[in-house]
Amino acid sequence: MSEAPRVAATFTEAEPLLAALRSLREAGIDRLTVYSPVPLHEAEALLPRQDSPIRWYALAAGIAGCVGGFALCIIATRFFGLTVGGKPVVSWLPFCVIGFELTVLIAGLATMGTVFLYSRLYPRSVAEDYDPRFSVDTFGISVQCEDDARGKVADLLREAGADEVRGGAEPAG
Amino acid sequence: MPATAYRQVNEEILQAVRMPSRRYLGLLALLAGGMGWAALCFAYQVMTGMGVTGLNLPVGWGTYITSFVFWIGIGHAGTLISAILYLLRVEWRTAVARAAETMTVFAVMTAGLFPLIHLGRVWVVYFILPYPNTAHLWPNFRSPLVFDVVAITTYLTISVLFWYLGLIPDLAAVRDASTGRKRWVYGVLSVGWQGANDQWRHYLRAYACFAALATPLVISVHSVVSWDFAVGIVPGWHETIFPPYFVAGAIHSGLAMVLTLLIPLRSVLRLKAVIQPRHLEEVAKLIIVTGLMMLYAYAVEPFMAWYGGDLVERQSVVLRATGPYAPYFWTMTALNAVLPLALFRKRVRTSLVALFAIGLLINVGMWLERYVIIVGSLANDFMPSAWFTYRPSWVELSIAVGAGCFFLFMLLVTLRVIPAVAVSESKPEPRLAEESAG
Repeated sequence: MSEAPRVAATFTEAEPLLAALRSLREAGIDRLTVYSPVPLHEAEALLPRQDSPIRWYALAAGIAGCVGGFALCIIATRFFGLTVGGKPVVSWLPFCVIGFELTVLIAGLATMGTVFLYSRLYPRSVAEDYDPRFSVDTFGISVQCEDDARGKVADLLREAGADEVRGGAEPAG
Repeated sequence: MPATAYRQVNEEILQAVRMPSRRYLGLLALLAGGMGWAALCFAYQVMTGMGVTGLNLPVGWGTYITSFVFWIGIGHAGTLISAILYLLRVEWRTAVARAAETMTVFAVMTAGLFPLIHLGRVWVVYFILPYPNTAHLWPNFRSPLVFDVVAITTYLTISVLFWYLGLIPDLAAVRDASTGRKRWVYGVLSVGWQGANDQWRHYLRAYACFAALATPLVISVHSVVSWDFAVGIVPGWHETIFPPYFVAGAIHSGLAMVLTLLIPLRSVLRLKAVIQPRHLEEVAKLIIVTGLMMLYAYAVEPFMAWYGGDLVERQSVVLRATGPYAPYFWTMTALNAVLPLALFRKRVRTSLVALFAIGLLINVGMWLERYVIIVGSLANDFMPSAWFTYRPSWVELSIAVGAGCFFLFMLLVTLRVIPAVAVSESKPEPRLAEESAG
């Protein structure tokens, strides 16, 4: 299935971009991507999905790492059978160090893995409507919409103060 | 208007990502020479045996372990600045964070070389790893030395991941400013970063997670390193103050290294407008705090020896101040605990020459501190008949200096191919009218 066409706009200021976002959301359009050279928390508040599940993955991985760390120590000491002179073979206190380190290690690896997965970070070309100025000083919006809505979306973007609007013309015929 | 300011930030920082001058390349060649000589010395040690070092009973740990503890400590400032100060929302950290994080990564790598070098039979290093084997040999997970392996591996992994995560938006900025093959390379490294809202949301959450994970980790790592000593019964080592004392010392030396490196680098990389004297002054203020902690620890050690009433412990303290390592002891005390007091004067804190000199001298002092703790304690233990004065051999000194060359080489190369200051973090948040800001 091919992707819906996109209308893209660029802004040199964040303020008109936020105004455009508000207009688009009021018009019931929610397939939006905002590009910015810095994190734009105000835009996040206007967009449909607002939370990132990464911390939950980190927590789950941390718990798994902690359990794994203790399990590693317990299994290794039981297999090894080192003479400990009447002291407990499974000595919890020193194992806390390994448990803690593996908590951090596995949580960190999971955090990195999930941020790559959720942000779709892998060596690839940038999106067609991406403008290299987005990493410098320009803000952008890309709107996915049906062909018959492109004109309306482009008008909303222009009204909000977009500097450039691309893909706004509806296809002939 | 942010556009102009944002463009200026990009231009000021990204201009440093370029082919270095001949003098810079000459310095790199010199450092590569130092590394090569150290590699030859290491090969000689492997072929001949550990007899080429100055190590002998009862001093089994010398220059290599001293350097290991020193370099692990150097890494701590980077994590303090990138993680702890991030969680505390300290504004000035941005200017120095990237260089400090890069320093952390290579300092930990440098530190990691020393246990391998010290091992002697380096080809059996895998014995320390837990894996099922026919001999049923497993690492002893009650040993601080095994704690060390796990802690350092975790620290290196988390530091590299945290550093790389912070780099991704900046690598995309380099990609967008490049053409040709350079654009392709940075395109691969920036893994398709576009600054999209979804990416920023997950990125910020992940960054905060890493900061939260790295904060207790950095405290744990040098605590674990200190247990290598404190868990032993050697007089001069067996002290409960060691974990906080080592952590404070680690941050002290790391911050001093930040000053030592950043003061020349801001000129060489033409980043004077971004890394300003006020940022270095803030680092100096942190050094006052860690310096006072060192002063406290240096005062508590003899007090506890006296108060504890253990004769051998008392003797160890007296020998530190009067024995064969006394010159090093007094030098380290002066450089680590007394010299930083000069930073209370604003005139000193704002003089780059003074800051550079103090940073350099604290680093010398911190290396000597580890030497005095490790070697001084082992050399004069319970049995006077076994006392032995250790002196490092030329092989040990060559390898220690070569490792320093490796650290500097890697740092200088890396700071030419990545933005030495975080580009996206250096940009101020856009100013919005109250209505827009919600």
